[in-house]
Amino acid sequence: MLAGSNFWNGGEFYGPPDGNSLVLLEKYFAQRPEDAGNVVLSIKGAFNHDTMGADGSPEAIRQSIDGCIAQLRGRKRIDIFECARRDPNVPLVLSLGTIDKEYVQTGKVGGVDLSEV
Amino acid sequence: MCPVPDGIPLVAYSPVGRGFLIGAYNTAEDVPAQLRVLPRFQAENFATNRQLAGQVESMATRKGCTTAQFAIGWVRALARRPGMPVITPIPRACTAERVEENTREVNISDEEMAKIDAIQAKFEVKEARYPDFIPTDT
Repeated sequence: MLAGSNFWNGGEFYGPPDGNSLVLLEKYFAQRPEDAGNVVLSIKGAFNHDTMGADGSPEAIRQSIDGCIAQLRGRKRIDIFECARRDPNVPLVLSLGTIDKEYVQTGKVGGVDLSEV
Repeated sequence: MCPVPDGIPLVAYSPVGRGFLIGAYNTAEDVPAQLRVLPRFQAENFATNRQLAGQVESMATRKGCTTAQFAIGWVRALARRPGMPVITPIPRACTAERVEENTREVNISDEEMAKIDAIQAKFEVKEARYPDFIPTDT
């Protein structure tokens, strides 16, 4: 932040579930709540550890975003959410539509991103 | 690179090539296990690709900055080209020193960009960024 670097990217699966990006970010914003409004936070999720690939189903997306929001404990909004790449089994319009209708339009998430499509 | 529709910014991950460009790995044996799935880091391709990293190092040395700063600066400079979107590089850093290093902005001139273009035109990077089982360009 001191260097003006305020676009931060993290991942639900970057690190173990009890030590992932969201856990670290929650600790940071607990100490520095004044930074929450100044950081643009992009989070990647919807990754399936069994298939080692993206799960673009509405169920997986909901579980992922809800989980990430819960881990942040209200200290910082997720400004951008992206799926961990494209799931070939789910139409992109369904994946992105879920994020948009259920999270962006309700204000829970700021926007949607695409990763390596 | 595929054209990006107007108004959509680009986030550039691994601007320092997962450490490759800063000479974190001198031989294929130095590459950590989790990166060995990537074709460009594999033994049969490593030595060739390391030459490109060497050229980046030389340019950075001449410029008086670190290779990471040079690489990040190149990513940012691409945004100046016609039709390019806003580009935000997101280099990883595990120490405060690296954060300070990465965030010191270095301006890569048009002349330097042209030199890099010339190097890239002649240099054949060995193999794809990802193996077939990791999807890209879907």
